[in-house]
Amino acid sequence: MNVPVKKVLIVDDEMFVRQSLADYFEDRLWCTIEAESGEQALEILDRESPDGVIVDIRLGGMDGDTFIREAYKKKTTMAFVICTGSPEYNVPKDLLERTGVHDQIFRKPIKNMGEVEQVLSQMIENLKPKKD
Amino acid sequence: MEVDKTKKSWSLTATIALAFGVLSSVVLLIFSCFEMYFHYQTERQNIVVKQQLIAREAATKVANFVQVKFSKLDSAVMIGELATAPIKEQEKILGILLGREAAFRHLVLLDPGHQELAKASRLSQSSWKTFMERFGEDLISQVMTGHRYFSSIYVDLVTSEPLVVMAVPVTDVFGDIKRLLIAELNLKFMWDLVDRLKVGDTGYAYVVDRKGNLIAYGDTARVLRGERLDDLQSVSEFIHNPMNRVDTAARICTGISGNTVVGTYVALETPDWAVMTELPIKEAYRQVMRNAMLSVCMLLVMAISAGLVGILVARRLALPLLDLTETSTRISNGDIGLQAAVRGPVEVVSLASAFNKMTQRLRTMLDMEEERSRELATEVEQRKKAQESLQESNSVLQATLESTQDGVLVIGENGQISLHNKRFSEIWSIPEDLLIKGEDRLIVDYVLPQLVDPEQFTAKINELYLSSDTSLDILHFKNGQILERFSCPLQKQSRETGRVWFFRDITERIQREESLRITQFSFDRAAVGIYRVRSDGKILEVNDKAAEILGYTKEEMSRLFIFDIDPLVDRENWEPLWKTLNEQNGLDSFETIHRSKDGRDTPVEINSNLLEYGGQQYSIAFTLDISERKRAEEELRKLRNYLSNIINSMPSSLVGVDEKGNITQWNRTVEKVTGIPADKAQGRSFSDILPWMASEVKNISKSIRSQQVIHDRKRSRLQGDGTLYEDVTIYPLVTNGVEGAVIRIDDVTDKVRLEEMMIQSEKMLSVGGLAAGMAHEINNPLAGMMQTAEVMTSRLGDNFYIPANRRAAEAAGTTMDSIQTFMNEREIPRMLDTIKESGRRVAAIVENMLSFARKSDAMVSSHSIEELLNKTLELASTDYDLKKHYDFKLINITKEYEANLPTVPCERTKIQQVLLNIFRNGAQAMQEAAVMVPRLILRARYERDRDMVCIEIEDNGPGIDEEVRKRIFEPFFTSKPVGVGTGLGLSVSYFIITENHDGEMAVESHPGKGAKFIIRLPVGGKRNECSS
Repeated sequence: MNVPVKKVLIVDDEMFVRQSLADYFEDRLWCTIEAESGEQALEILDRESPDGVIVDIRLGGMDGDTFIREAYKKKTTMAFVICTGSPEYNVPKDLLERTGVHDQIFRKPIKNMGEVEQVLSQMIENLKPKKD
Repeated sequence: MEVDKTKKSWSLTATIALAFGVLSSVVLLIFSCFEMYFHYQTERQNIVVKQQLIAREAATKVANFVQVKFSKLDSAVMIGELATAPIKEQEKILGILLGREAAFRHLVLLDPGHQELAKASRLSQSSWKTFMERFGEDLISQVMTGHRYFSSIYVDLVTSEPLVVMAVPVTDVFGDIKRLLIAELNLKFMWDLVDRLKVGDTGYAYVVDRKGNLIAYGDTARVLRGERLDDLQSVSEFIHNPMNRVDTAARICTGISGNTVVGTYVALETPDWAVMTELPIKEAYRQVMRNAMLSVCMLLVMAISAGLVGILVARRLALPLLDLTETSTRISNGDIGLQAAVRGPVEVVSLASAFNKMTQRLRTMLDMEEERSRELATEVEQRKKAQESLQESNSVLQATLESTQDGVLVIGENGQISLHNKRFSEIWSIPEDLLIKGEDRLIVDYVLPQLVDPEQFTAKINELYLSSDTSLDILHFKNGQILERFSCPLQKQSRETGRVWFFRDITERIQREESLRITQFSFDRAAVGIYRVRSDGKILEVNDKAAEILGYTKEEMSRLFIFDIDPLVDRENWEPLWKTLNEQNGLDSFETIHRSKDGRDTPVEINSNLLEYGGQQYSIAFTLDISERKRAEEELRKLRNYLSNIINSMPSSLVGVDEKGNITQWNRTVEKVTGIPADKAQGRSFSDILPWMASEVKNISKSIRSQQVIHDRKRSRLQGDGTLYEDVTIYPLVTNGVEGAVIRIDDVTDKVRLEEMMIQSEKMLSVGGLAAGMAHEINNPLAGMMQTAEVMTSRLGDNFYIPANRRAAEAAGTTMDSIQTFMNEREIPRMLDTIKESGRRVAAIVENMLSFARKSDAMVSSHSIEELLNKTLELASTDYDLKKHYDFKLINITKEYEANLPTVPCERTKIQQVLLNIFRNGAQAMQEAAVMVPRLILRARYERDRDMVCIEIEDNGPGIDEEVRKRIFEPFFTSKPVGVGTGLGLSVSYFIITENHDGEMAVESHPGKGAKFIIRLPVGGKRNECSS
């Protein structure tokens, strides 16, 4: 139990997708927070400070890209993994320049959620020394 | 020496020959009759003896048959000790006897008290009592006295078989009669015996009893009918002579079958029967007949020979007499000088001498008579001649007068008509009665009204009667008739006694002269040149026009020959030309050149006619200057040539047809397309030459009828290994009443293919747009499903490191192990896999569909097509399916790559995907069709003109039919069973090639002949890529 519990924020307007990701991470002893829109997620960020965020791009209100930009304004030490069902989506250049945003986009349905966990963990690890 | 023909007289030769022949025939006949009679007697004796022998032998056989049966009974009595044996033993013996002898039907052993001791029978119901009733007393009395018994015949009512009863006494060792052995014998068994009896070749035997009943005979039907034969002569003799035990003589009588036979019989002692034998008389007397025939033949031959000898002798005797007869016949016909030949017998010699003397005297008398008659005849002759000559001169005069064509009138001194001929009255149509009156005045009055100028006529007559001149003038009639009148005075002893007038009808001659003048005029003024040419080519005469055409004068021309004016003819070949003209019935029409005086050549048309008169042949030739016509023809030819060049240089196939559908025009394009040259197609039926166009014939006639253009677009037909599309347009012709149509055929295959491809691309793009929008909507719920399924798998699976799992299990009072067991038992993991697998398939479909939507965003780099193909083959070779026994490695692969292919800019993975897809499809198709030797041919070549690399992948699978081929690149179109393919593979491939790479993709196939996919990739890369 000396491994610190990692906290992940899952932003997706599709409840079943959100829930399946949350279930998966919980099983792997992550602490999970769910948000169904960018706006809600930003509110949560005021209270909580997750290590990583899994972001859907097409959201009900603001889109995923905007959310990441807004979130960055609040905290810079979070790892962002983009996960979308849109086939044409590409990560905008300005986001790619930021260290916390991974260039790999996970297309829905996610074929291997283990990979998501691995990528996210890796990023969180990478961000830590900076913090130190 | 006349022969009296009314009385029928025989020739000497015939009489002598007949007498000789008849005499010798009579002698021979008598001799032959005697000979035949004696021979017959001897032969008859022979037949009788032979028949008796045969009958006796037959009788012995029949008697034997009965005797054998008795001896069988006797031996049974002796051997079986029937007198003493116990009853059981006796029955057994009887049984054996019955078994041995088929002819026995019943066997009964009686004791002297008529009690039955033992019996054996072939019939189920013993009927021995019935025959005992019939014969009992007779039988017992006879047997008890130690005799054998043989009954008369009776017939079984059921089987109709003739039966007899026979009995023997059974004695003990002392000879006392102890018992009676009675047997019923079936006579049917004797029939065979009788049937087998041989009497000559066709003869037969039969058996009758004393009452005349037929007992045995070859025709068993008659026996079974129980026939009585007492009406037959032999049989009745047997019936009525009971005491006659010896042989009877054979005799000719009516036989059993109704024919005439030589029959005899032999009576038997026991039983009281007789064996009759009959030999048909034909066979019996065959030898006698044959001898008689031979005798008759010999008699005939000898009679004929005798006749011939008779004729020879008679001839010899009659010859001198015939000679004499002939001589006298010839003398009577006038050959008086003849002498008869004196030879032959003495009587004939003296006859001939007397005959010769008689003729001598007759000859002398005849000579004197002849001299006198000759003198008389000469006198009569002279008188006759004088008379004839007078008559002749008279008639000559008359005939001359009548035969002249001129009318002749002779007027005497007193104005009376002294002579006129018939022609005169005809010319003037003077009635007969007027002429008979003989007054000249009356005749003049009659004829005057017929004349045009009667005054002049009468004036002339009056003038002439006053003079003694001769005159000649012409008379015109009102009806157009023209007469020439000649007159001369008639003088007798230098004194004028009248005038002779001759009138000649010259109407026709004048008319002929007129018409000749007109003809000459026409000849001179004709618009065509007219020549009269002699057979040697000399020009005899020409008209003005002929001279004018050539610039000669008529006189100059009549000195020339044809070869002087026609440079194409010379003296040497003139004669054959003339001959040809003769052969063509004297008519010939041809074109040639005539050279005019100044050396100019003029084309002319000649119409030559052969004319024959005065034994000479001439050619009358009409010559027409055709320079103008020639020039027009030349112009027409050039124009036609020009038009035909235009038609031929048309890129479309143009076919002209007449209203019957026969080809009139066939341009070069259609020659090239069909390979049929124009001269072969001309005049043939449109549907014969272009059979695939046969259905257009209806349209052609419709178009001609309605005068409207008819289009028939995109007609397809198979040619070689591809489908050809043609547009057919029918234009009706409306020129100068020439009915027909022009059919234009354009090969639009390329256009159609292009259209097909464009439609294909359109479809793809629309699917692409749809897919992009749909993908997001599907992917989200799909993600919910699949990801949840994944979490479920990990929660329900044996992931012990998930603490929550363990906690939940403990809370539920169970362990993860037992949950695991439960899961496996209920196959939950499989179900979860099913969910995941299905999800994956949906995801794959969406992914594939997105290929249509995604713009090219991937890396384009130059690749060698050769290498790409080889790499993809390697990938494919790992592809096999155990379940379907499908293994790519089993496919025979042929590579035909052109050397030095240029590299092609492309997306490597995409192109590989396309190639792999085609390889797999081909391999699967071949495997499903169970092709024995599956084969893939890969070809790659550079198409310089289009700057493209062409890849061909050909398999020898079942091929693709036309319907499928058209739709093969459509999304979701699949020929595979549901679940095997999404139907997207080829459409994606198509999209990759055409949209992403600006290439071309097509498929060629015919069912049963494999399929060939063709991919073309531009060497220059995608165009917009290049520009950017």
